[in-house]
Amino acid sequence: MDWKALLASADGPPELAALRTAASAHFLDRGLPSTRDERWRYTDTNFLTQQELELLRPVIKADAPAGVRVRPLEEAADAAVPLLAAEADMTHPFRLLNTALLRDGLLVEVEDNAKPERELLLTITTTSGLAVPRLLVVVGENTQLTLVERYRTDGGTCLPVTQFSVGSGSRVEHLRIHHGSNDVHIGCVEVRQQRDSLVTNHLLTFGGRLVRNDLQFHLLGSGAEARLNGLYLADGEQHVDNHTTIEHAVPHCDSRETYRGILGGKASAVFNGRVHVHPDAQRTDAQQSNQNLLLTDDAIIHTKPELEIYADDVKCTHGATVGQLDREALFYLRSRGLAYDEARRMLVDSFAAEIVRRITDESLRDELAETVIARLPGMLAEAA
Amino acid sequence: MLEIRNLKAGIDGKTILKGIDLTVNAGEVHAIMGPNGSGKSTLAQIIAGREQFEVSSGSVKYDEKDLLELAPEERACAGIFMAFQYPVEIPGVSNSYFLRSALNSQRRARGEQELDAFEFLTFIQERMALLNLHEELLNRPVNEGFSGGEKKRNEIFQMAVLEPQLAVLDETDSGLDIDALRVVASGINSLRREDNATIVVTHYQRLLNYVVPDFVHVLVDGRIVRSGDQQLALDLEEHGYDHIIAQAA
Repeated sequence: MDWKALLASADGPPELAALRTAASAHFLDRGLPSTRDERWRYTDTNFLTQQELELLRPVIKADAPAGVRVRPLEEAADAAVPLLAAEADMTHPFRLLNTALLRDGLLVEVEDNAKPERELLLTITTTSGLAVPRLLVVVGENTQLTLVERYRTDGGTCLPVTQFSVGSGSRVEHLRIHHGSNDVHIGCVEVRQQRDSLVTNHLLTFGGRLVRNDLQFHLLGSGAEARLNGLYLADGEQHVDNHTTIEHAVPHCDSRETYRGILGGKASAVFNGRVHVHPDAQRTDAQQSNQNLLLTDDAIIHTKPELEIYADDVKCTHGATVGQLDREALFYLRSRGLAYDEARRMLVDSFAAEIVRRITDESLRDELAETVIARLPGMLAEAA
Repeated sequence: MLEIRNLKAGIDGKTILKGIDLTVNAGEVHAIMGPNGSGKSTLAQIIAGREQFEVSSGSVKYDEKDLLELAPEERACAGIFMAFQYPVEIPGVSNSYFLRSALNSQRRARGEQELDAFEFLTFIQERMALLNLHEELLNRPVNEGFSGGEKKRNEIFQMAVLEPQLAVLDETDSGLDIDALRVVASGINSLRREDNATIVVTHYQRLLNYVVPDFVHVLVDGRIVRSGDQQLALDLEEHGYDHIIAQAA
């Protein structure tokens, strides 16, 4: 892969050219992450260098309710530039790639006090090749938004970046759903929350050759709360890596993080949950849990909480578990007449349901519960 | 219905049952009593099909079938039910979903039509009344956060819904206060029929005041040392196990 040639071929709105050039230089300087970098220790992306990736434009479909303004980045570049420039992360290699090739994406805006009647549905479809979609979501004050961001692919490499700016007193529910199989998906989500805002993120991964998600939550105003729910299912030789960071920058903020994983075959997964409580962030209440169900002896999970606390009046808890299907529960179900396979499916499904049930919208919840159920027989058959 | 012959079994190489003979016919209630560690629960679990136990010799026949050859779910579908001493909590699975899946699984195995959600609800409401159970319990996850008494009532409720031919109640009375014991016992009694049978495994005689057995067996150190009628249970209550053991020796 000739990164230099790829980056030189970048094209798009002239307003974004300066950003692209700066990111391009940073990326070429750093290259792909090494597994000696702690954040990439279990996720080796260097095979990408062996591939010839052709830059392809993703197909982004938006179904927006009244009260939510959605514009393609190409048409809203003027408005997007200050947002992009102010929050440009020049350290994450794949976010740099996304910025260096910036062209396709959406600017989503919800005005102060708006009351959108339903959710904003975004479907991002990619095929083979390389796609770098960018979503900028600007939520005003005292308003609300439910955003469903859905990735569909049958291969290729997708490096999406989604940035939220959430105003005071607003509520956001964000679902990021990845339906992959043989693809590479390395995505970043960055959320900046002002005073008394509540952002609930549901990150649902149903497999992929290599999936990496970096989530960064910045709690910038007192009374802000972040809820991070995650579910990852992987089997075969799939690999899923979730790295989350919650920056408690000011006092009186809460974070609740609950991630669950189900791994079959020779799948591997990483959970790294960093909670950073800044010196001023007194009365922080941060809770984190990561639970994993391994269906086979060959499945691997690396789970690591990372608490950095520089304030003294805080409540921070974390816990991680790794286990197999409960034999007692399995026997209990079978003793009532449920076949072995059905009993196993019921137990695995109930483990996943603990995350899925947190989705507010009933039809989305039901749909995702079905998606989990549809995924299980294959995973369990492989593990039998 | 059930014929156990010279059953020897254990776990992790340790022998627990040292030759059990027991015959249970339709319409009968048998009580198996014994001190802690005598093998009562082991016997119940072997009947239900717990795989951790190894049967070294003997036979268990159920309706002329070799019970030991059957998987736990096949036994359930053939009409065997065990009320667990320690009912298992299953977070995330609602009681009603669990029970409907179990019932329909058994109905499928018997070639009967499955019940849809509405038919099922109508059917179980009547069964819930039997055990004084609140409807909200149906929507709660199986046994999760239930009190000890609620768990035991939930076991008998499941039995009322599944209508087994042979029910094995493993220490169902333990942990119940006297009111809960009465409710559970009247539930068990209302399910008694000419064509089914019940084995009550218990340490204390208390439950047998309400669920009157036709036969009482005393299990000591993996063997049935005495069999009799209800009077034997009363003797045990009065004189204790040591007395019976001494007599048997």
